[in-house]
Amino acid sequence: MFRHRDASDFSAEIEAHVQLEADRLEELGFSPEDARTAALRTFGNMTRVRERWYESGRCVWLEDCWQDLRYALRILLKNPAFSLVAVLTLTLGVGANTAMFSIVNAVLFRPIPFRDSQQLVRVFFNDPRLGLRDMPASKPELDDLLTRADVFQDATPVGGGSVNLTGAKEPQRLEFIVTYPSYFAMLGAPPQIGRLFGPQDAAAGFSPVVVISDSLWRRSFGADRSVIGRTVRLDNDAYTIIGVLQPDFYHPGVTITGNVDVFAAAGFTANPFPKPVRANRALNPGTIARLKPGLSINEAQARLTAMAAQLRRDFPADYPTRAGRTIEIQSLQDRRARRSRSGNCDVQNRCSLPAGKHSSAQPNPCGLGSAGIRAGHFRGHGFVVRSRSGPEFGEEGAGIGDSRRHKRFWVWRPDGSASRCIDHLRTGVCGCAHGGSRAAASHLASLADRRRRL
Amino acid sequence: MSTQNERLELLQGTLDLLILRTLILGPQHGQGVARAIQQTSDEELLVEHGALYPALQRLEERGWVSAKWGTSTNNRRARFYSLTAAGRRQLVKETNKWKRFATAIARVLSPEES
Repeated sequence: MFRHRDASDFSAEIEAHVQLEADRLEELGFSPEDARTAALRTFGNMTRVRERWYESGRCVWLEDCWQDLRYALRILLKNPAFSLVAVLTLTLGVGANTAMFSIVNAVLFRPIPFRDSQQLVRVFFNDPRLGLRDMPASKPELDDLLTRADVFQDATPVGGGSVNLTGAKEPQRLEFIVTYPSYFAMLGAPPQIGRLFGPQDAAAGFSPVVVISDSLWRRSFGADRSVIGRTVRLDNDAYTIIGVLQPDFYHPGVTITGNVDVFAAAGFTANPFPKPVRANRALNPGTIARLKPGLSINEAQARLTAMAAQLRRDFPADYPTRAGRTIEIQSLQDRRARRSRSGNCDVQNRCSLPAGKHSSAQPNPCGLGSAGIRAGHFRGHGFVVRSRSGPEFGEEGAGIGDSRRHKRFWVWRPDGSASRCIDHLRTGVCGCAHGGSRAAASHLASLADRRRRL
Repeated sequence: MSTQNERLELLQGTLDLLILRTLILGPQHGQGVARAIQQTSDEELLVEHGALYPALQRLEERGWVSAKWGTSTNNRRARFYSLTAAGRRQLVKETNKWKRFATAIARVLSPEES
C-alpha cells in the first residue's frame, strides 16, 4: 500500500531534478548561473508542482473540515458566553423542532391505529338548506344506515359525556362514550385483558357492563388484573368491568377531553334514550361506521346521497323540504372528521328542555334535542344552554336575561331554576352537547364545578 | 530538429504511457525520464518537467512504478523510478490501446493510404 511521502522528500527530489538538468546544461557549455536559470525555466512553476503533488495525495475537503472544526472550537473556548448562548439556542431549536414534529406526526401523518382504517368514516346528518351541519339523528335514521344504504359493514351511534366514577381508588369525573356493542369489533380493537363487547351485551337501553381504558386501569386500579368483574358506579348506576383496552387505543371520533376512559354499550331504543321515532332526532352527532370492503368513499357517498333523496320522498312529513336533509361521510383518517366541532352550534330554535325526562338512574348520553344543549356533561350540576332567542326554555325556564350581552347563556339547574352564566361565557362558547370545542367544554365544566361549590 | 515553439504538446493522458515506456529500459530518475522522452521523440514532444512529478506520483500510487533514492552517473542523489510487474502489464495494455487509436486517427485523416 502506498504511503504518502514527506513533503521535504518531495522537495529534495525536485531540487535534485533541477540540479541534474543544470549539470547537463553546464556540460553543454552554459555558465553555472545560466545553466541553473535555464533548468528552473524548463522545470516550470515549482510552487504549482508542489501544490499539485500535495493535493494529489490528500482528501483536501476533509482536511479543510478538520481545520474549520478546530478553528470553531478555539473560538468557542475563547468566548464562553457566546458559546453558551449558541448552545442554548441550538438546544431550544432542536427541542422545539422535535416537539413540533412529534405533534405533526401524531396529528397529521400517523394513521389511526385500526385495521383497514381507510374504511372507517364519520357520518354527518346535515340540513343544508337551513345551513346546518352535523345535526343529531333519530334511531330509525341510524338504522337506515345499516338496512337501507348498502354501504356500511357496521355503524354505531356515539353518545357520551362525563360521569362521576366511584368504586375505584377515589371518585373522579371522567369522559365516557356509549355505542352499540359492535363498536370494538367494528374498529378491530383487541382487549388488553378481559373481553370487549359482544352480542351477549345487547340491551335495549344501557348494558350493565363497561370497558375501561388502559390509562384509567393504571391510574385508578393500579393495573390490577383482578379488576375484571369488579363493579363500579357511574353516577349512581352499577356497571361491571369486563375488559381493559390496549394502551394505544383511542376513540377515533369526536371527544370532549381527548381521553375517553369508560366505554359503555347500549341499544339506543329504551330508557334513557329517546323513543325510536324518525322525527325524534335526539341522538348526538358523532356516528362512526365502517364501509363495506372495497367500497370507496366516493361510491359510498353517492349511494348515501341517493338514499337521503329517497328518504325525503318516502317520509315527506319527517323531512321538510326547507331542511333538505342529506347524509355525508368523511374518512376518519381525515383529522377534520375527528376534531371537535366548532363552538357554534347554530341553534335555530328556542331551547326546549324536557327537564324531567331524563332518568337519574342512567348517565344521560344524549344531547337534548336540536336546541343544542350540553346536558350529559353537567348532569347534577346544571345544564348550560345557549339559545338565540333568550330565556324561553319551555315551561320550566325562568325568565331571566336583563342584558343583551348575557342573554344567550344560561345555566339550567336540575331543580328547574335557570340562571345566567358568568361573564366568561358571553364570548360565544357553546354548550352544545358534546359539540362545543374542548376548550369550551372544559370551561363549562369548571363553571359547573364552581357553581356546585357555591 | 524542431525549435522550442514548434514542439508538440502532449495529448492528455499520454504522459503516463510515455513514462512507463521509458522505464522499461531500466530505473531512471525524473530528469532522466524527461530527457529520454524528449530525445527519443527527436525533441518533438514537449515535456514540462514539472508536470512529470504529479504523473510519477500517480503511477507510484497505482503500484505501476516503485521508487527509491540512489546516486546518478554524475554522483548526484536522485530518486530512481523502476517499472513494477503491474506497470509492465499496464504498459502492454496502454500501448495496444494507443496503437489502435493512432491507426484509427490515421485512417480517418488519410483514407487512401489504408
